Amino acid sequence: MDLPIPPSIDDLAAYQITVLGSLSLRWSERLEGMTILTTSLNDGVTLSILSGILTDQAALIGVLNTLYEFHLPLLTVIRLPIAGMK
Amino acid sequence: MITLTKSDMIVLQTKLNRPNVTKGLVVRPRLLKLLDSGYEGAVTLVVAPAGFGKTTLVSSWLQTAREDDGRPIPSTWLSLDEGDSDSEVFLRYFIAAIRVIFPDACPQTLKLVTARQHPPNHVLVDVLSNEIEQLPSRFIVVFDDLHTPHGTGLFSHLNSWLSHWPRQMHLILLSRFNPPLPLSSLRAKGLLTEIRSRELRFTQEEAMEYYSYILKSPPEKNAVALLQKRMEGWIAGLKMASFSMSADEGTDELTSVLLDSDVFISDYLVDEVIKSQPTNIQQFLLKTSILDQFTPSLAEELINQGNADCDAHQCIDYLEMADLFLISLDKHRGWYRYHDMFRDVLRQRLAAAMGAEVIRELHSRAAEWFAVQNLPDLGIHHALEAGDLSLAVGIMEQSLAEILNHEDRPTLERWLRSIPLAYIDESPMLTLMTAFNHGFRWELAQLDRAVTRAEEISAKREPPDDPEVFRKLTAILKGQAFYHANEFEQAVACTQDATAQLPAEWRYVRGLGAIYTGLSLQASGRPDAAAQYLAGQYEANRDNVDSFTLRLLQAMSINYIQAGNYESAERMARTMLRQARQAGLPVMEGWGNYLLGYIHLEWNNLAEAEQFFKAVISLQYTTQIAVVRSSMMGLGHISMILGRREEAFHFIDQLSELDLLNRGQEQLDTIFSRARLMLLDDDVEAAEKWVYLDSSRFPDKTLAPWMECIPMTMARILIARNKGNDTKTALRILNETGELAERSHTTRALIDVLALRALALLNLGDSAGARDALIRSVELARHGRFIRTYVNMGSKMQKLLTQIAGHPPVTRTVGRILAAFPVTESAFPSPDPSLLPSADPFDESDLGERLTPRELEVLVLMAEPISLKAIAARLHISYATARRYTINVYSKFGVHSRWEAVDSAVRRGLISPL
Repeated sequence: MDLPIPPSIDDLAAYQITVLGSLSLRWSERLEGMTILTTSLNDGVTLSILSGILTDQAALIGVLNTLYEFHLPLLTVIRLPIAGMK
Repeated sequence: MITLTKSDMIVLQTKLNRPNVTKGLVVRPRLLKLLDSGYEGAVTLVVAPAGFGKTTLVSSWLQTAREDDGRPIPSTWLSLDEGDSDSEVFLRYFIAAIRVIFPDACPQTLKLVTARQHPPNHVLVDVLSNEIEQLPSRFIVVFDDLHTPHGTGLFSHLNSWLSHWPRQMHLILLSRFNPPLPLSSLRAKGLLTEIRSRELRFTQEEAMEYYSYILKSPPEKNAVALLQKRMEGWIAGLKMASFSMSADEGTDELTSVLLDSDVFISDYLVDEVIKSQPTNIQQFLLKTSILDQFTPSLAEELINQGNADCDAHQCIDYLEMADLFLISLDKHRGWYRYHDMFRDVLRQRLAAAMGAEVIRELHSRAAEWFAVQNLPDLGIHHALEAGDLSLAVGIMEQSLAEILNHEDRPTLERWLRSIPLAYIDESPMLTLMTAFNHGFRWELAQLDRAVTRAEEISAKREPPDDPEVFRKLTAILKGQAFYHANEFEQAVACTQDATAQLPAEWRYVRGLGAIYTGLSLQASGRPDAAAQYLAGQYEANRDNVDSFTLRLLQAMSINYIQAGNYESAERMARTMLRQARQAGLPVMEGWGNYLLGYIHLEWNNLAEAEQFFKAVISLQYTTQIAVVRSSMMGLGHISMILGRREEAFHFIDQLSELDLLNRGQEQLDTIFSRARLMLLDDDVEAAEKWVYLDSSRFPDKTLAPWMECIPMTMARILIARNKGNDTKTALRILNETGELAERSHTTRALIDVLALRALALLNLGDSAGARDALIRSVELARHGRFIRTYVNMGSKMQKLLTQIAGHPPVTRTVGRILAAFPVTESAFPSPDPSLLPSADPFDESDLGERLTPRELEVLVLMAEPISLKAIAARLHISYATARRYTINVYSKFGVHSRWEAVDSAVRRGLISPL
């Protein structure tokens, strides 16, 4: 990944998290206000994609921990560049 | 270490101590200011990985925190651990923490937390929020290590609080990562202040200041700059680096490592820290790292495994001097713990250095030490870590008497949960512990099975460690079962000697043994021996009012009730209620109120009776479930008598909900208490469907003073209907019940049986026999001032009473009873319901069409005494779907409960009576 400055654990960053299964929108508040998009693949598998800007990686771990407590298997975590940021 | 509060709450004091701030602290005004302004809101969240100085910052701020007017802000600290995942454990500690500031805070919540039944979450939250709101000043609660509890128990509580936040409380949450709370909405409302790693990390200036505190000679500016950059201000890392820097040549080596970006820096630093210590300190660090907290004496126990040349006090002094990540929790008693991050690394090194066998041995030693210190929870934890189930069980057995004395159901349940079921089933003592747990929950059938099983295991396989105590405990529980099966001689034989011989420390079980001895002596026809026994036990223990002495009063009061001596029973129950209130024992308070409600209802003092029963309901979760259920029935009776028909049935609806919640299905006595209310309402037609139930299915034939006695209600329905063989069947039931009442010397029941028998004989045209039976009944009832027993039987009884009023021995008693009958019953005889036009608004055939076939199927099954879950299973549909069908049926019938729906359907001929 092409990042101008090496990321640190307490950088603000955008993340996209994909889990297996369907996650209701009403959990957004408990997940740092990340937006939740649920899609079904052709083979009937449902994925939930969470995206949003998190203040640091302690917030990210908090989200992952909550997803773990919900028993939703984690597929990917992607850190995305934010347009216009350092 | 252990605090025993008035309410018998055992807590580990070290969890409630604010950790002492370590030396070399850099004053950080920008962060202190953030904490100051955070206090205005509801929650301050301090979140960062281990080693960023969260605890140090908050602890030092609390020492100086002031209100605007200069008063110090009271604060309390709670270090959470994995045990707090259990929300009952967490709430106990939370209350204990609040009580550090306000010693008597939250009494109601505490009672709920240690209750016999699990209260619903929303009840707990309401009561707790209320009690916090009433505390005299604002205060701060710190939850440290909020990341350690797992699961949803604790957070569901926090979440509920956040929705109606008690303003008196400011919460500071310390966690390594964001807790699962609705942070974004708190942020939006401006109630949340956050201090995160980017605020916590040392700036270059702070790093410089820090090193100039702790190093003899201040380091080079460039080295510090490099460190600060590489560590990103990670305080623990900077501190570990200081150990390298104080060593000769250390700084140069460190600099070269720092420049090498391939080295995992914290690994390197920890290794350096450990390597730079003398061997004995290294050993000490590794071995004690298995402990979450320790004292010198506990540490000594672990390190001197094989060699006695290491002094724990010296090691601890050294670590404190060197500031080696040791936190003093309680200076007074000498409790310490390691910094979490350091401890985690040490544990990892321990595994690599010494291997699993040594670690198991260390855990075993720790377990034994905690057991000796009477800290069973910690002992059990380490025994389980050591994989030594028999040690864990040994500790449980050792503490069983104490746990039972506190009637601490949650702890007993938690312990049993930590042991595999197969193992429990091999151990007589563990199986007996499950029996006690069933007893707390008034699950008598399961209790009975567990006792039998415990005896089998003890005989066939492994005998228990202390066979004498085991035999006595078993005997007392068996005696209880014998009493409930109406085998009174056998009950006395089981309980009397066992109670006398059981060591004094088993106070709860001895109390149990004493009641059943007293009740069974009376029931086996030895009322004097019973009274003497109970009074003797009470005299010997009266200086110490507790659940044991109150149980003796309870047994005396019940014996008086059974003997029909309600005046003495009332006095005894009042004494018991007063003492139970003073001692704060809700189980017995519930019993006192119940017995008084029961007596006053018979005396026709409806307002008093209603108050007593309502007092039981207010103790719903903390008292025994059986008295709560019977009080609900009592309230149903009173409402019906007062003509509040809907309210009366509503109490039974509540009862059936309670049944569904606790047992998954409506209990038989609930069904019959509904039928009983229908009879009181003169609705024989509605009540009669239950008489088809097979009486062999009634498991409980006891004549204990409960509101509902199923065979009696059955007889009442048959006599009221009086078709075909009804009255003869009723007489057969009355003979059986009367025989049992005579055999168990239960005059109270005999009075009822004889009065009902009189009505039955009247049905058969035997007026002389009817009068004789009624005279016998009234003679027995003379001393107890019985009223309702007769008045409830209606106008036929009223007429029969006037016929015997001339019989001198009973004239006065009959006069008193007749005075209590409502005037209308004789003046305006109720019209025959069959002559009235149908008030039914529905056309039956129309309704039948409107129900879908699936709804009809559900309706048919609803008439059977099986749970909704079972209905769903039979129809191969989900619980939610079954529930939806029932709701459809209710709305189409215009009813609100299952039994109303069934009732309606039977009346409409949609389904046949059972």
